[in-house]
Amino acid sequence: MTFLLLFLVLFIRLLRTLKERRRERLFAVWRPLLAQTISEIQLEGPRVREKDIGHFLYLWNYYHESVRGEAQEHLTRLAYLMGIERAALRLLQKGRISDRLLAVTTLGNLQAKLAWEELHRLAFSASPLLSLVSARAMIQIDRSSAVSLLVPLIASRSDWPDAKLVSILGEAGCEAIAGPLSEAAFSASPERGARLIKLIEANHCVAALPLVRARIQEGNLGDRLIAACLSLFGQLRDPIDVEIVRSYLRHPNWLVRLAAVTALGRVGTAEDEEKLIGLLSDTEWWVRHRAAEALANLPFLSRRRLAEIYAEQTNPDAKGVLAPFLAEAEAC
Amino acid sequence: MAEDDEEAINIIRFLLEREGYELHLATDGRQAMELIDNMEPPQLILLDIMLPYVNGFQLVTHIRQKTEWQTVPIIMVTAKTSEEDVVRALDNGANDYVAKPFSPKELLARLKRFVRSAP
Repeated sequence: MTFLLLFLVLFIRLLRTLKERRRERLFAVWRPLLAQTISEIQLEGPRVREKDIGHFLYLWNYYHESVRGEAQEHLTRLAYLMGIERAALRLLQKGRISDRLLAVTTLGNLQAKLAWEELHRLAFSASPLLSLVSARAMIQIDRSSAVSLLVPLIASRSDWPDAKLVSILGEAGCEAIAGPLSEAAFSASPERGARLIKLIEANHCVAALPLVRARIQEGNLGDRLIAACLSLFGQLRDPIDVEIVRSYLRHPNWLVRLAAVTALGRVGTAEDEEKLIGLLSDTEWWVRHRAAEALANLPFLSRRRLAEIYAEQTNPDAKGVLAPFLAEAEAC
Repeated sequence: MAEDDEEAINIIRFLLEREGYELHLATDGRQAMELIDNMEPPQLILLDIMLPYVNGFQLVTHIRQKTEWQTVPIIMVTAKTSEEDVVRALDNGANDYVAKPFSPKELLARLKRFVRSAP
């Protein structure tokens, strides 16, 4: 039994070593060829054996995602000439998740329309990684159609990390996401709607502002959604939105007030100084803190004026929250 | 060049050597510090921001503190494209930046502009 186990361990190690050597040989041949391909159209290369296709796709995808523009087109053309699309489709049928991820990534980078239906199916897969990578591939193939199909998933799949979604939607571009995401935000639950608005904000998608502005002015939105919209106005800094932001400074929900005061710190004007001073005495510490921070960061407010505001405060909470910002301003 | 991504190194090395440049490479921040302290100032520096041990911002500050390296152009090559990172790098003394994924043509054009105008 011991000998059998020893033999098995040695056999597995031998297989791994051979596989590693094959990978190194393939990389040694293809690294310079792929580097050359990004500078000029490469019409041929050595044939890649079926058992090495995974290693090749890994390297090809890495290069493809390291460059953009003409260089990327050269790599795509080389892959089509080599029949990589068909190889990726074959790999997609394999059971191992790593093979399928590699195949999906390749099909996305190749913008392989042939794989659209299969990718759409996989975007609904239970695996968070496989579904997310498939969603990205769909966006790479046809951004507008993909975003429309994926919006319900984007709103509902809590297992898709926001940071990844931001990056994927960034690839789709603001024009493609502005309409579908903002429209869906106001028909979803406040929680899901807020998530969609945050994704718009993270992508600095100015094209979404008119619809968001119109919907918040219509009223009748949940507090979480209102807070997300106010945060969006603050981040995108369109002066038109300052009136909307001001109108929520006295909202009964402190989370909405917090979003409003934070946004006002970014879009506020000289006439907001008094409003921010008033919020230094808010019942919630976070609102007071953000009001103090907003005051300290107002570009037109001098250090001397900040010291005057501090001296004028009779409320110890207001004084306490403003003190560190005054100290910081004086230290600079 | 200070860069820790093996494939990015391969691509940039290929592009630069093809144009006739000689490349001195550091694959982490510590190696970069050693290079900076021990070699003659190069014509140009390409710096990644996210490097092990010592990041690109710290390297820019270190470079600008050395009298003989103060005028060497620095191009940041980075995956981090947020406005804050770019502003911070330029504030620290970098001259330009190229965002990853990068266009090889754009990288070479920016690089040549600085090398041409070098004293």
